Amino acid sequence: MYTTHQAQPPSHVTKSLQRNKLGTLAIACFVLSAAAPVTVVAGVIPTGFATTGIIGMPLAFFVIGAVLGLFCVGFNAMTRRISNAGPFYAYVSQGLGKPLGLACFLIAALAYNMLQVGLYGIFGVAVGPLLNPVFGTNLPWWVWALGACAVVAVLGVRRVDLNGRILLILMGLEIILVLIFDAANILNPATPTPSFVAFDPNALFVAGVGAMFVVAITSFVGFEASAIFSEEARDPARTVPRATYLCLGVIAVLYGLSAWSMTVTTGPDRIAEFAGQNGGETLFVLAGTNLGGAWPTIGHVLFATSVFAAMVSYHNAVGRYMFSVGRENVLPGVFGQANDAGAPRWGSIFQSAVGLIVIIVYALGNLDPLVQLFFWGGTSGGFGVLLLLTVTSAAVIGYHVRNGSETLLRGVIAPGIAFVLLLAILALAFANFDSLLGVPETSSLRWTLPGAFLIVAVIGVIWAVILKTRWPNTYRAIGLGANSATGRSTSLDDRTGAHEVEDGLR
Amino acid sequence: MTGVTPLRCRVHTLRSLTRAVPQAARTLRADPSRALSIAQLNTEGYAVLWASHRLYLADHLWLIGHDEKSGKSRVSETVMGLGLAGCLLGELAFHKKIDLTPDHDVKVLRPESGPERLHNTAPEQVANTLLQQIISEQTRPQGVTNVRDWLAYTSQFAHAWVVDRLLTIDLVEPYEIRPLVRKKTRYRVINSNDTVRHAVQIVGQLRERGPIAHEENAFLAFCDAAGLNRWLLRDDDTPAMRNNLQRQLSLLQWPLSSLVAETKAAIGDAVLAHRT
Repeated sequence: MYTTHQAQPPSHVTKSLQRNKLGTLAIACFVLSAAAPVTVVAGVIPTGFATTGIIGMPLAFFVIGAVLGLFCVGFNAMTRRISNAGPFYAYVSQGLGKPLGLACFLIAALAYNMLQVGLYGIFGVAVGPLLNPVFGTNLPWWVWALGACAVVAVLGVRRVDLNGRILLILMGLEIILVLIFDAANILNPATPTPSFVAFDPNALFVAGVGAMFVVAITSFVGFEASAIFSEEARDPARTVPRATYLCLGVIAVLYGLSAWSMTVTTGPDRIAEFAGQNGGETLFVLAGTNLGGAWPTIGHVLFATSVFAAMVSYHNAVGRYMFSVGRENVLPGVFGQANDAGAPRWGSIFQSAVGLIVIIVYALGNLDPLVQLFFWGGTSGGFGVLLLLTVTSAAVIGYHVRNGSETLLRGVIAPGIAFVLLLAILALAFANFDSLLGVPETSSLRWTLPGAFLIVAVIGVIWAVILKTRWPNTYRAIGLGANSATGRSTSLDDRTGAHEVEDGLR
Repeated sequence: MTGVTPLRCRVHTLRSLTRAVPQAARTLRADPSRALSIAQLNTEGYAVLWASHRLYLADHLWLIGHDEKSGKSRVSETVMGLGLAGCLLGELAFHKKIDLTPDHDVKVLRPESGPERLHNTAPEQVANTLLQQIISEQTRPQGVTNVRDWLAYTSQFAHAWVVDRLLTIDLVEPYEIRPLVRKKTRYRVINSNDTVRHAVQIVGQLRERGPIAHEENAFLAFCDAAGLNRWLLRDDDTPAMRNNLQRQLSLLQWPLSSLVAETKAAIGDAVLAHRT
């Protein structure tokens, strides 16, 4: 006798839960919409060429993309097991111990603040020439920066975060614009045929390559945001990893192509000099030469919106980190409160205050907004993120060793290789920090800026020890984020049962 | 947790009173636990029908979570939805219809009693609807059981369900507002005395560190989870009162304590998510 087994159709409850879930493409779009492509192509890449003088930047994007792809093997495995909007902090807390976790929180807070505040410099420089003629004014960069700071502050507390469609449309336009500019560059080569010298591996074996890698990593910052969507993913085990790899691939190809196209149209031996002369205008000067017409103006407009989108994105990243830690009471509990718009109120206000203070200091000190604010802030922030990536790779291994929850490939081999490669890049970056900043080797900045991360890390460790001694309940909640209320970290594997997380290493 | 509200049924003579009584009974049919009493005719010949009704956990959270006059929510829509969802599950837990397992799954108690008996003894229709859905999922091989999933699911409908309950007992009334793009319906409290009295009573007990009933303790806990403490405490929002509150919350027992913690965690995750 044969019976036919038919699977039950999904219930109303299941369908209702699945309705708002995100697929791979949706998550990738959300992540990429904060990537701000024109900001990188117009701001970071030319400044990187000018500062380091290394033509191998296109290849560096692909190399870093591959390294981060390896990193993501272990990262995505952790995403499934630990749900936290501050992924680096949570993973290190539960992989290497709570003191190091708290150290990573402070490193992340400093790095993302540097990245966000640095953007005010380039925003003021970019928007001034656009809007001053319109209003008939001659306002300095810091006025526009203050205006942007005010708008970001309001958007932050009113929870006008990624309003999905608007930023998605802008991102789409930016990518199209970048591809048009790239095509124009490639079709107007300086040599009879487009040169591929920039992809020669030997181009990376030069002095100062660590600085080049930091610039490349800075361009990738934001890919880790895919972890935030794990709770809302349709199938967290597959959707989030696919979205992450998709984002990495798009970013690597887009930026690698753009950087290469600049070397093609100027000539590989002239790109550093050309970028040095034109700075943040490099992309638009080339567009004016190769395309003409209104293209440079269109580019400037999208550049301004791109920078603004990146500002909002980093602002909200800082707010989320502080909310997550406020929920744990590691920071004062007020940081763990949301306002009536559902925004992390005090985290947002804190970040806005940091931006305001920095702009005022730079304005009063008459400091260079492009190099000393944007580039120094951006690359230092990128160095901080590189540090986080390195430590997180080790944390993945530590977590696997303690919990044995993944395959050897995901838990040890891939993160192990990523750790070694990232550590090598980190060492190179530290050694070349003067090149990264474009300052003399004897400048104190080459020590103080990376040293700032060490200082905050030490503060984090000390703070954790104090918490353990005086407030052990709060210490136990480190790394749990919003789940500190339950005292456990939720696993997203169809929620068959959350595993209890043991205390970190003492 | 009871309140009294006058029905909208003013009568002029004894003859019309007899017509009014069945009408009132129809209005009150949804909740058989209500009592109906008729006041005597006053000197002007009016008789006002009074009904005592019961307000549940979710009702009280809704009332404290919205401005009495404007009906505007004091927290975001998502936070309110999750808070109300937690309260609706809390109502079932409080009446021992459901429990939470150590794995934080929702479990129906006394399933061998059969759905008919649970249906008849569920305190109120909204909670009963939710209970039936939980029972239905538990009978499915891949049914939804995790408390976070139930919070997420219930939060989608909780606001509408609770508002329906409040409308049924004439505690709120709808009105429309027209911001820039499209009109919205809000609900304002008809008689805020109930809300104020209840809140004042609880705050008084907190201040005097007196005993607080289990259900009211649960209400305090859900207020805390939804970030509504400052609206509850208002002028009494001092460090000492907050300490009293935390001390009181620590007395909450399983499964409500776990349910409150899961609600708070879900609310935190919702704030952190990009699409709140």
